[in-house]
Amino acid sequence: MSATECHPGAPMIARRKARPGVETLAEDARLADLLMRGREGDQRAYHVFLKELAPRLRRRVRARGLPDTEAEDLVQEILVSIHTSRATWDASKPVLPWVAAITRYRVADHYRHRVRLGRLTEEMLRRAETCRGHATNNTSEEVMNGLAMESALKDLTRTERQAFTLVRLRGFSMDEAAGWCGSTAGAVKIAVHRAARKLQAMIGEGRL
Amino acid sequence: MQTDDLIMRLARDAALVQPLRTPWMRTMSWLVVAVAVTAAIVLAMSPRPDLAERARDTGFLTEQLAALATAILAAHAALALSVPGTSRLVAAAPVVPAAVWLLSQGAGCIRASTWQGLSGEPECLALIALCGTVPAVVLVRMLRRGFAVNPRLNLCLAVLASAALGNVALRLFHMQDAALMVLVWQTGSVVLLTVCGWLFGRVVLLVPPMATAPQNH
Repeated sequence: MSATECHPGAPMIARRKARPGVETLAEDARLADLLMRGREGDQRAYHVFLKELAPRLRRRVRARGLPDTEAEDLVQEILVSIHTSRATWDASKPVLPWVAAITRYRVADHYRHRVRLGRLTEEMLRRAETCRGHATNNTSEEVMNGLAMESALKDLTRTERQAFTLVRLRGFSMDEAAGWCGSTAGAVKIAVHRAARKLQAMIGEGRL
Repeated sequence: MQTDDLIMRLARDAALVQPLRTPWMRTMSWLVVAVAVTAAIVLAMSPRPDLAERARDTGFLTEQLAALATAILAAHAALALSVPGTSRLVAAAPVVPAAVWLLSQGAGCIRASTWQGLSGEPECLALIALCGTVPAVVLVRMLRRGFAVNPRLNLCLAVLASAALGNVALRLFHMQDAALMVLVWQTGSVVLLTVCGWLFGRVVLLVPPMATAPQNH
């Protein structure tokens, strides 16, 4: 979202920015109407609301220079967050600053998890290296399997790799993994499912 | 999954949602339940016999009112922070009454002419936890309907609110007036519980309510 999307009159909004233009206000009002109808159970209006929001989120996320797949994952996480917390929007206030706030938190979380995942991957590689060093603990087949899995995980997106590693390899529950990722159980479930499908495809292609 | 598919699933999942009321309205709802529960506990434990006399003591009243204000403002801050876009400055609101609360106890310690010693009364922690449990559970359920922007801070404020209210109740039935004992065992227990709230914030608040989580993925 652009800087002009923060409504100047909105109370309790952390960042007050430039005065929004007439077009922004009109768009805000239209999106607010769609979300309000969506909250009343109008699935069609809610679908339009999310559809119209997605390109805005995509623009904002891509402006940060994230790779396309990672940016798309982040857009999906933001959409899920907007969905699960739609009850928190106060209909007397503009909707875009509320969306911008959720986006801000999710983007910040994303970068925090990137750092955390970097540490986790580093630790996994270190342990794999240590195990490989003990010839008595491993058959050559196990070592090859480990290497193949390591390489297959690299083909997954960051979110998928993180979710799959936590849930399927390290045995965390969806909720625990969501807590660790700062995401939702639903988003983790989607990522694990996607990762499993990709790995299955790799097995089908004989790459794993 | 493609983003369009996700949007389709989310839209399909979009049942009627009851918007959250304003944080102050929700704080008042919490307060009604919390006060009713703590009042029941005070009555069950029997109010202290000198309560009428203590109620005329300015120091006692200042402490109790400051603790109550801390509870209310902390609960409001926790609920306000569960709405995206709320300034984190709202979390500073309970600092003033909490400072008054601590200072009034500190002044009591200084006023005490004789050193009465510090004996162990760990049951204060259990009693405050007992009085604060139901208010804390109610507040956590309310917080989980919101968006956990900063779960540690949110739960820390929620536990502070519940423990402060628990402490107000404790002072109404527990005969402990030595200022140092109150400061260490009662206020210390509130601080300890609040720190626990900070430590467990992510675990308690980051699991989304099942009713609103997207299903069938």
